[in-house]
Amino acid sequence: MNAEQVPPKERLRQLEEAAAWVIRLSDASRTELDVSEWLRWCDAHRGNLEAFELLQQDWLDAGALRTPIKARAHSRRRIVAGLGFALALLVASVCLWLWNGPRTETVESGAMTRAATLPDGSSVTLSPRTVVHVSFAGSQRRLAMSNGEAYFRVHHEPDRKFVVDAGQLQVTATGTAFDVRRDPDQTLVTVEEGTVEIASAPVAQDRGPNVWRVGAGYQLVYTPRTQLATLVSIDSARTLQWRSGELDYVGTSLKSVIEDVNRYSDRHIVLADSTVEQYPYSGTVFTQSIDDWIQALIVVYPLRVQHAADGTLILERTGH
Amino acid sequence: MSTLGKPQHEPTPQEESGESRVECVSRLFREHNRALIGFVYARLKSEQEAREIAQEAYVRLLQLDAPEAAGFLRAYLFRIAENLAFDRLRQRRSRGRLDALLSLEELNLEASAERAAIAREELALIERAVNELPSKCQEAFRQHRLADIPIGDVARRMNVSERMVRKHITRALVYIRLRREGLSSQSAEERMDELP
Repeated sequence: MNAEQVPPKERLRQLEEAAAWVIRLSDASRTELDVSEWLRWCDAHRGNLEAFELLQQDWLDAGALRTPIKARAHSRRRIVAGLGFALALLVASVCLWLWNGPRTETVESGAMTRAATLPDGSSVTLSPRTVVHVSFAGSQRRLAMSNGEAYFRVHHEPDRKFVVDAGQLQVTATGTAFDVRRDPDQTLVTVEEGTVEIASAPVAQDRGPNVWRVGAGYQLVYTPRTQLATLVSIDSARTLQWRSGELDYVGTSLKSVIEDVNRYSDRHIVLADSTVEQYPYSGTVFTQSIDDWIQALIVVYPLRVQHAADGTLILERTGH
Repeated sequence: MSTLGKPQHEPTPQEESGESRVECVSRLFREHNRALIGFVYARLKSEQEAREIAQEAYVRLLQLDAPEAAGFLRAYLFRIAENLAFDRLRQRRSRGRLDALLSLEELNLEASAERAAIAREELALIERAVNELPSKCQEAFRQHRLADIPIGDVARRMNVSERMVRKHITRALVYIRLRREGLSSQSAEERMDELP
């Protein structure tokens, strides 16, 4: 609704009402009733909601006039678990929160792959829906990552270790390039250059952590449930292709391929049964054209697609 | 109805003549994301958390078995967000003391995030507009918005009714809007006089 089309008097009244709503809803003690009444008001007249949004923005913007409060230096910041829920329609965001005191930041990808440079000159590339919390305050460069995948190119600093916490695994480097992929049931560390040291959480109280040294061209596959790791020789360039928007697989179970694709797509794909999950898949998925890929998939495999009401695609076996 | 488009009456999943649920939610996102974040922010006072909650609200809305009409979906969207924000507040309370430390940080984050989000000239204009406000109006606005003093307390300090404080702050906000829309201080003041 264009402001000019509304008679000035009416527009002014609308702004006044909207301002009153902004103030009422900004009150932390607002009630369910306030919200109901506000929603009713939004629909009562053309342009009410638009006026509300304008004034709400003014309200938020005016908050910038506030003088910052001096806080005690305190470097911990929560990484809220389960940040994985972003939609592809959400614009990808890199949030860098910086304030005085210890240098702590959160780097977060939205629905797309994101690259960011860290304070020490290292760089990180995040696959969609991945959050990395960065704390370079002490004698170490500490990072903690959520589920998802992150590729690190570490600036060489022999005196200051670069440590990535990925659930039960801790990956330590001084200057190298490696990739950590953290899935709910598996963590994969792929080393592209140099060597990294990987430590698992202690298996039992009376035993120390397991430590592995992994060189370039190798991938460590760790299963938190069994606390076991295997080391495989891989083509790291191929494994790290996700950075360019291509996912490449050789004989990978369809289950883990779909897990990847779900992170890259606004379509949620579900596999109907465990037989389907175990189908081996080899090929490349271009993350920009997931729909085409699904069409190809149902030609190659005995699968069909069911469209659920909520937009979910269900892949199920045909002719059983 | 606002500009949200044609509501579909008694739509069924089979009825795909209008826009799909995903399209509808995408549009709600484009049109109302900022309002939604602001709405949640008012509860949580953390922009980061408000964004997270807003995102989750869209996800839930997509999964919700509800009528497809845009008006309904929008109401659901804000209700879902409100409930999620409540849950988040409850979690915070149960976390107890640690939160006292974190909330200080977040206040700072909040101020710097707000600063980062708004252009310098725009902020200067808002500041000028606040300075141009009549003294009572300015005092009420500064105390409540910039010093985070609850309206009841502002009323006691200024020795006026809460209703009066709300009126002052409302007028301050409308004045800032008029100034941001390009009106000179003089014509904005004249327009304000038209308000009862």
